[in-house]
Amino acid sequence: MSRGRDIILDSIADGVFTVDRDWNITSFNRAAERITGVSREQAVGQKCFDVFHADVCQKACTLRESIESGKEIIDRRINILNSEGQQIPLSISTAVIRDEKGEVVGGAETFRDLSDIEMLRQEIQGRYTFADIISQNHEIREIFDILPDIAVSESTVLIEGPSGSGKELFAKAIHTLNTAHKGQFVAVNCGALPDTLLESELFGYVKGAFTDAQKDKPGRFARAEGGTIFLDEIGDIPPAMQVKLLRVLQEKEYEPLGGTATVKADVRVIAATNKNLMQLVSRGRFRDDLYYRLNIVKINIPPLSSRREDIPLLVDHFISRFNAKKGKQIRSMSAQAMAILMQHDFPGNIRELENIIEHTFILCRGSEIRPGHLPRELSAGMGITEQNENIEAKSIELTKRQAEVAMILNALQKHNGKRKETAAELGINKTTLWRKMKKYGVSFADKKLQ
Amino acid sequence: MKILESDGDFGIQFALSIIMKIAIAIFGTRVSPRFDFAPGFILVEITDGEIVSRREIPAEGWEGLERIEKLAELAVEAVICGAIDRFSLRQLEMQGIKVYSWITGEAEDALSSFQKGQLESGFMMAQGGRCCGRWRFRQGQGQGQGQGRGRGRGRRGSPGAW
Repeated sequence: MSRGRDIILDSIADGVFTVDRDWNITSFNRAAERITGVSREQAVGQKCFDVFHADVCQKACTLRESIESGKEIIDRRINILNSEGQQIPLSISTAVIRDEKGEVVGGAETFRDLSDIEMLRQEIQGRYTFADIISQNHEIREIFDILPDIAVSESTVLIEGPSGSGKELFAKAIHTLNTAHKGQFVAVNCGALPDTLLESELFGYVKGAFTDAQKDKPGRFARAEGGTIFLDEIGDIPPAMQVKLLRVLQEKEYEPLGGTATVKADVRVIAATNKNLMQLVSRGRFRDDLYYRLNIVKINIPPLSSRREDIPLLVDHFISRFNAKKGKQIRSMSAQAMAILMQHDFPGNIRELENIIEHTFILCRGSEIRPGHLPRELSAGMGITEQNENIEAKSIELTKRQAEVAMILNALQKHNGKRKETAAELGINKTTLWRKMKKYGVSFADKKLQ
Repeated sequence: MKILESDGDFGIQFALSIIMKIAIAIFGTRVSPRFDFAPGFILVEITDGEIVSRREIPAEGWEGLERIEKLAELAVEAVICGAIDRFSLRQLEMQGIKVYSWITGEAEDALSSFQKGQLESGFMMAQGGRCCGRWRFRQGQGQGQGQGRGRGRGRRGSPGAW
């Protein structure tokens, strides 16, 4: 290669190399040295794939495509491995080199390092994350804006949002954003504890409070001392507990079960509910004075179905999380699979999306999640079938669950929602039926109660 | 590494033979430039420097961890390949598999070099298993020296170990 051409090539910021018809490198500019980490002396004379180590080299060589078709290919995204074993994203363009008789004598490839752009892209994405919450939705971003102020205010916060919408994440963010907090973040799911246990769980008990109380046991409030207690499903707590909770909020003190001395509580309370608390108040199921105590600052989290723009961001987030967790290397989700998700309603919100991605991780052996990897009820509804998809590979657990839900619903309908008769028909006892309904979120108004 | 026990002349003496199983990532007849995209491997069993068996196995569709699991299942003890990503390298090492990376040239030549006990990461192979050059990287690139794996690692100007 002439010296003059060398100087011109070296002045270009993009990497450039040329090959002869046997894929031997004939020229290699300075930017190519920088990007690949291989010097010109070493590169020239080697096979291009031995220097370049691109993901496409062995299957779909872009240069070969150019040489065989005689056409120029522009801006194809590939990645190469550098000498440190790092993947570097590149944009490449290829063209044919002909001699004066017009015969193909080789090819030329220019390539641009996209690492910086890729990094910027991630940084921009970073602007949409706030304390582990990912969103570009305007409603959520408004919450982001006020969250730091809420955090330092120390006032009680009520978070309303459908189940699976990430209420606990917001509560955690409020806790961590308040740097004055030295105590822990303690979460309690009030709906998951039986009424009788809830009091001793929250406030603890003293030795001798009941037969099995052989020593003092501090409650969750004591554990959260100096920190934050997060009371999830606050709408489910029984009236007696509502009174006690009101006292903690008003007087900042409580009495452990069976104790006589009052204990001071320096704890920030964040409550959350997936119900409309105001409605519960008007029906007399929730104390109004407690409601107003809790509702000093209210955050409303929209369901995922009204913030669909966040679905791709969340999908990327869960892919990288499960990659790390499960040691897989899934890169992306195909456009068809994404289209299916974009049209889904997500009654289970972000938790449902997370479960869907986890499901695809079981089935996906490649690097891209395709429609066939999605739970069948999603892809089937869309009428999209893809060849080469492993249709048999389907979660048995999911099918079982669906069947169970369908059976319960059918039986409930048949018996007008009467639990006793429904349970009898299904051959399970009443509490099992109740547990299953709660687990699957099946609700059916009991005619007797209305 | 397996130790074979066989009866010697006196029935009690043992002659120890060493069997080693290696996998060479291939691309046509050459060492594959990338471990993760190699379309196949040559599996070779070597006893006392002699090849006792060899076969080619396709590796299409072995993606990510699966590729490492398959090699571990085949009880491979060393892998010869071109460039390798960090994830795969770590996983192979965790399985106790030794990696000869940045090997360039005909797979056959890399195999003869290995048989003679001469192969090192970064070799450019020439006919008969001679080494006709070594990969050297520009300043700031290349690392991995002194990791305590294999020969020739600590040498100046040795390749980036990958």
